[in-house]
Amino acid sequence: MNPLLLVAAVTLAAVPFVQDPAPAAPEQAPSTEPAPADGSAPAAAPADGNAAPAAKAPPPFTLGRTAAKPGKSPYATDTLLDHPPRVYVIPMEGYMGVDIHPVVYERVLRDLKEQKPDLVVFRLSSSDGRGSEKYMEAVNEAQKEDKIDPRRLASGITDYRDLADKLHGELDDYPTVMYVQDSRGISCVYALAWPYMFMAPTARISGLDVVAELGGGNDADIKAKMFSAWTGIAKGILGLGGRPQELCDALVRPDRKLSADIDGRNTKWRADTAGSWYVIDTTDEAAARFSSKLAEDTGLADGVAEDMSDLMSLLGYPEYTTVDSGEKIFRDSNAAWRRRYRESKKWMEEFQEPWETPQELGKRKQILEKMQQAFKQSPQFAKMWEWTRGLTEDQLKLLIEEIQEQIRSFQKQKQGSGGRSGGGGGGRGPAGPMGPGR
Amino acid sequence: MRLLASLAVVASLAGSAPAFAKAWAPQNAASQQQVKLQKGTWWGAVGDRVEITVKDMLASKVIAATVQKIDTEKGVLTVEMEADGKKTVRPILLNSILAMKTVGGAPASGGAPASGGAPASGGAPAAAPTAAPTGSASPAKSATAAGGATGKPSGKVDAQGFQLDEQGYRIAPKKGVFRLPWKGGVGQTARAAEIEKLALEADKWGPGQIIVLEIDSPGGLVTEIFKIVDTIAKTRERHRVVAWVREAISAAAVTSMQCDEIYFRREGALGAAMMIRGRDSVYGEPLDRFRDELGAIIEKNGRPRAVFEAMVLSKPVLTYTKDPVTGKPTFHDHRTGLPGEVVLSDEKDNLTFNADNALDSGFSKGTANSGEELAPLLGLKEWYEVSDYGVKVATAFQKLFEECEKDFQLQQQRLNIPRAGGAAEQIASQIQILEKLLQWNKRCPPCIEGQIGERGVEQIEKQLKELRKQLSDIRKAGS
Repeated sequence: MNPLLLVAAVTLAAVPFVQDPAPAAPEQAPSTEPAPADGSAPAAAPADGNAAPAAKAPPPFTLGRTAAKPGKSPYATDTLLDHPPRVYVIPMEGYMGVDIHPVVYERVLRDLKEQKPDLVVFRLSSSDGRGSEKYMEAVNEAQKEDKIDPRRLASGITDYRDLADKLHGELDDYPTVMYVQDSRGISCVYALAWPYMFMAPTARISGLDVVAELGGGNDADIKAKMFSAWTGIAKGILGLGGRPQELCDALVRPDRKLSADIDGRNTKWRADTAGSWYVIDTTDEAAARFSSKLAEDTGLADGVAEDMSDLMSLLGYPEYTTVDSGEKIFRDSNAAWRRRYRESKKWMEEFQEPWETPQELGKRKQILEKMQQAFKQSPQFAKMWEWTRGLTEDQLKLLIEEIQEQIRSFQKQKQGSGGRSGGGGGGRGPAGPMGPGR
Repeated sequence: MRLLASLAVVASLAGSAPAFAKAWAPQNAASQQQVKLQKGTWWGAVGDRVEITVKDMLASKVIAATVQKIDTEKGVLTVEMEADGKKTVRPILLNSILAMKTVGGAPASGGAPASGGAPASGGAPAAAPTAAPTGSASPAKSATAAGGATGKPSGKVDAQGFQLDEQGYRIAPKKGVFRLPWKGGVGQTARAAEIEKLALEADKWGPGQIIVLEIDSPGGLVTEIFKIVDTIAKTRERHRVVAWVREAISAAAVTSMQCDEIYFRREGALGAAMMIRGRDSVYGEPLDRFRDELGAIIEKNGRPRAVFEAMVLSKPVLTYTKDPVTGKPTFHDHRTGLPGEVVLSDEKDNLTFNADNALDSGFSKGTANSGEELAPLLGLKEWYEVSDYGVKVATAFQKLFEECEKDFQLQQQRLNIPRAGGAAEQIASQIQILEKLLQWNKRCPPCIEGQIGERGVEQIEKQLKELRKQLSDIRKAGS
């Protein structure tokens, strides 16, 4: 008896998530995803055999190619500082929604405001990959631990939007720049949510079409609705970076094409393959992808920077000092919950051992209480357990209550050997959460 | 039918509601202002002779003084007074003032009295903020003509300490908005009820107020949409209702299109309004009625039906072109081939707007990511929230709903936990849990009914009755 709904952001249950048995370090995952074009201009020739536009030499871009961008420019020519800038680096590394989580940035923002930097740099390195079956097969083969399904990560998109919005709201008074060390999957929304963006030479921006996989439904109209809603929300985040519709569409929708015309310092993105300078996406199978070179050539990125000092050079600051307290807050915070997470996996392995004596029930209860406490202390810890093994705070509560009843049952049996029956309890322990790879 | 009956009202108001936009432009706002005291308010100006009752340790004392400066932001009133036979200038913290009364003053002022609670009478009414100069197409004039707020203090205050004007409406210190965070599922935490409550609150300040619905919703129940349509239509008879969109998907998109104006946040998304049940689209009579009735209302609200159609089904096409001379955008329900035509939704797509294309096509009236950015778009000098009632009401209900929803799921699972004390304890525990669910139903019916429907509640009651009987039988047998 489902009520009639006009709802699009479906619950997670609607998405067929792979409960991958094995999570691990989020840094790198094996990928079967084709690499984005390396950026030779014009990029990939149309796959369908249509004649590609003739190659032209890219126009000579110069520093400060930023005439029409929204936001406060980080270029030295615009900030006009009379001293070397104090640069505050905000890391965005690891899993979206887990490592890159609002609780960390609350602390970072508080610190940043005390530090009063001249310039803010977001450093993004988050490669969640795409949600294709091949990708997950590769993950399984590699037996990586703690891998989260990219679609599961993508499902947190409204939280990512709210965080991006908050960071914009708090930091738009500062000249801000995004430095992408690598971005695959849902993290691309952050790579493109700030107008001034640089990339590391090996960086990619790809796989944002994972958003399109969040939809579902049994007929064409519901599929179109879900697709439209999810991609609309994703494009909204890119809108924070002032990215135009044609580009946004091509980045989130596999069925869209992308090419570019260059006019002076401006890039005119086109939703077809007729752009006279660059053809980026000719296929209906995957969304547009960018290597650092292609991004730089097309003006998607402001430039390619080897490292921080190179980035500062490109912005026009031969001299600068970094404020690294943001890095420390980020690392300490994530290291703390990850350390606890590693420990907790051992606790839960212990929890799942078959138990022999009633006394062991008490120990199992203690383990769950420790887990419960850790869940309360760190939302990231909680999110990691939920997204890797489906364990939630409510399930912990239920398990604890179930064990309590079993303990009571044993006690009753012990006390009242001649009395009334103690009822249920005893025997096997409560069903545990999904164990690591068992 | 109810919906169709409201059409005429909407139509007749569509033109006039925005006219209130500039209502209540104080003529003498620079000199006259409302000052919030510890309890109540005082209305007056620099130069007024006043009697101020201030806290003095555990007692209070009355000071006769002349107002030199009013700084409401810092909460400081600077006065000139006589102390020990000498004139001296002193700052007084507003929150230390128990009462304040004008006893005479600058020729242009007068000042209504105020005291801690509610002074019923006192000085002459101030020559307070009035409507915009006669002759202009003043919305304030419209409001006054209709028996609306005049902005002229009557010298009376209401029970909450607000100054009242000659019509008995509260006087706001400056023109502002009534904000309602409209968040979560439509029919769950985003409801018609809160819009209605806020409209009633805004009524206290007279017609022509600006109600801002901060929309952040993934959509929800169709049944609620029809309530919302009615509520917004009625509210628009008195006030200007504005949608400010972060996420307005599905039913929330339809809600936004009932408002006088739509503004986007930069990350905003609005659209995808197909009617669904579970994982299937709903076709046939329910969809036809939905399209016909809501399409007609949206059209009467001044928005093309084609926009709504493109949000419902994937087949309808929506494009727009701009007049090469005026730049005025026009929507089309087919491809025209005109130069510069932008396709918003093709034959396979369902339409969702983002901030840029909504603005460019004229669907939205502007983009703003903060109150400060939105204020000038609304025609306000600055962002000022006249009352925090909407925020409080919405936040409280959202909190209650979330708590209920979370606990409901937990309690349901608790039903299955085997209890140590045998059958009687098992049943007693189940009774306790079901009673808790019914308590939730009393506290937050939309939450429980949303989960299990009205019939589900009836079933719980029935189940509870049976369990109580079973427990009673077990206890009788045992005794």
